[in-house]
Amino acid sequence: MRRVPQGQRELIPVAGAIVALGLIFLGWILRLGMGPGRWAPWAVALLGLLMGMATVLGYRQEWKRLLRSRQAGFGAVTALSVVLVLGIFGVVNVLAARHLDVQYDLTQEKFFSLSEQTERVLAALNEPVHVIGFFTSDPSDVRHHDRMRAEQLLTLYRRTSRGRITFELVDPYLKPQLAQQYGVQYENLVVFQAGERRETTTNVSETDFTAALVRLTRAEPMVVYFLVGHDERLISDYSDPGYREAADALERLNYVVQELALREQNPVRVPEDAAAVVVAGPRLPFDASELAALEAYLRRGGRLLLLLDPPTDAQENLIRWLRRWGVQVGNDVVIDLLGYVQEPTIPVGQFLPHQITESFLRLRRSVPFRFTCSVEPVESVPKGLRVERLVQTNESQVAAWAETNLNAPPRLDPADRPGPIAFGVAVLQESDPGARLVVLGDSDFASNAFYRFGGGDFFVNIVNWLTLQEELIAIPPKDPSERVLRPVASRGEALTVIGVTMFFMPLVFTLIGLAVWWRRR
Amino acid sequence: MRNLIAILRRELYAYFVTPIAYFVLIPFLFVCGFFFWAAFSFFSNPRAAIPNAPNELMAGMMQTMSMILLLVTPILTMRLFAEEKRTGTMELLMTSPVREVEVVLGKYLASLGLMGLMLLSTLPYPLYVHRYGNPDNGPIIAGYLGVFLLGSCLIALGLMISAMTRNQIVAAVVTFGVGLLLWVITFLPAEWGAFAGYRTLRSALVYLSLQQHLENFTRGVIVVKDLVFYLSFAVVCLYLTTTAVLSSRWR
Repeated sequence: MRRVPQGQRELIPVAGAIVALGLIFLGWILRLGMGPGRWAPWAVALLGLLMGMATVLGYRQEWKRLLRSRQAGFGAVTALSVVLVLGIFGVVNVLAARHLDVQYDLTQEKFFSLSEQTERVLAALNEPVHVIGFFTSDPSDVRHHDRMRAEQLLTLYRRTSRGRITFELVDPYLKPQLAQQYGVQYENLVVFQAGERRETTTNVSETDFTAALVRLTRAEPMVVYFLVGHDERLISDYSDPGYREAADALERLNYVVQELALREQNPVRVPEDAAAVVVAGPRLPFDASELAALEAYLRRGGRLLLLLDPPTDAQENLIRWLRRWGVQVGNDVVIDLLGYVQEPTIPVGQFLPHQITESFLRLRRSVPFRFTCSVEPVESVPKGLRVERLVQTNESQVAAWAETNLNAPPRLDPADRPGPIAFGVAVLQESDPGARLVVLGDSDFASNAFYRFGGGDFFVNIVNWLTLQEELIAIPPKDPSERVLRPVASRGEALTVIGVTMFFMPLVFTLIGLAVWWRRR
Repeated sequence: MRNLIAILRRELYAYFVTPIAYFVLIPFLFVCGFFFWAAFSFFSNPRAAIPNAPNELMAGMMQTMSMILLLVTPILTMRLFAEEKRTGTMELLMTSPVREVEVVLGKYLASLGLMGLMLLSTLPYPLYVHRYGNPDNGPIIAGYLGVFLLGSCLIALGLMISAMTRNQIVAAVVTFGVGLLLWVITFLPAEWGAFAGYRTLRSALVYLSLQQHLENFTRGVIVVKDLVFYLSFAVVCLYLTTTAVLSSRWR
């Protein structure tokens, strides 16, 4: 045998033992990975065993001396303590990861905390709910922000519900089959599932998620009545002007959709079980008893959606009544020369901040409204009502106006009110019983013809807001878009920023370094 | 305790009379400044209209700073023990009435101090973000805490590896290699059909990734799990460093 320097003689047996143990370990890993009934893991482990025996038997002298030496004692103790410490590290972290569920939210908006309302809903949850969020996984996409927010929110929901809520995020481009199965058209869709029942929302916010959960777990479904009898759009109509698609969308959200002929009711009143009443494009006038029924409905906290179309001559009664609820409907056509589809009477409109429009604003989605009359808050809004504009034309005073002469090509006359012209408002009664009313100057946007151009989602958002429970409205929206960063105003400012961050700070330390070097020289 | 402070002062002094501190600080600040300006012009672009832009910018800077820390901390820690061994001062240190723990902690705190100075020198970034926007301070403070904790793990790792070798270059390269491995371990594919226990193994490995635990801090939420991970990681590295230093007594 070649002479090995003193103290290194044990190198070969020790290395052999380590390799042998490694082979046995590898065999175990392979066994885990490949599953039972395969020979390769056993072969590897056997090889390790043979090698271990060979090193022990072949280097008996060295082992004897090694084990008797002082180093072996220290080495064994050290190795044991290292293994012990690594083990403690593993156990501590596994325990922390599994059971230590404490976190401190330092954000001002409390992005990582849920409201009391949501906590109550989650505490009352008594069945597992699985959530699938369809979002793009492309980080450069504008909509990726929604994915991150949805992940944050759903993690909080999962945490607070103690695991009764589970979730997954799916990229519809990568899993087209699943996307197809859930009918994902626009990318952002969050599906809440409990058993066979399903609820969806396109908005990523705590209010919308909790509202979806409430709808999903509610015992009896909510009924949305579509008024008939004034030549309205029909939910049974599959042709272009019909509302079949809108009704389908509501049914997918577990609403029950029914027609309602007020005049056939005796007495004339809105049924007690109405979650909301939709009046879509009436062309015949309402009589006094019907308006009284609607008034009574709102007075007991009703939720009404009115979609009117120009010309509004026939709806004088209705319009006069609407003024009492803070809404002014014009007998005109909204013209927008800057934002329109095909012609200026089909404005796409600009959404204004409101819970209904929030997702449209964030995703910068637009909705075409076809042939629209102006709808504004009245000059002096009655006390206790909050009337907010939802959508309006561009801000320009010359490129948008309310055209009063419907029989000639649109031209801005002195008689026409210049822009911006609103054509949708939401009314919220702030005191009890909390009636809610949305009035829009168009009923085409949600018809079958326009449904998939964004109008459908807008319609669903409106109905969801109308039927939202009182306490859910109170969830404060957490809007990060209020935090903005201004660009530098001038080249001088830009140079200052660059100068200070990139050059001044390094320069300070360069000078200190030079000074130290100079003094020590 | 007095010994610890003496060693801390000796090491800090050594950082600043040798070029090391400057050769770490200056490129760090220059590169971070470059990233800050690039990110600033991207996030402040009114046409991009990025939601929560000021805090997104700072969150991005935290990621950037942690990445650059990965590059520069091996230089901070490489000489701490390796040089002592090479020049033979290790024997002096070992025979002097100083406990090994004090030596290790003194050196560790010196590096932490220098890293703290590095992070402190980036204060102009949040100040500028405040001047040009209305950021939320919570995530910025949490983010700095996260980066500091991540850096303290990297330094503990570097110290451990420096105690295991007598060659500074080897210490630096191995530290960087291990750090990078802990960084990119999240790139492991999510699925590996042939391997039954792969998901568990993957989640355990990914849990070891240093930068993975930074995300929550930069978003403004301090998750105690992340805190536990960083602190336990640093403590284990320091324990192993002490063990390695001690082992020279009996080897």
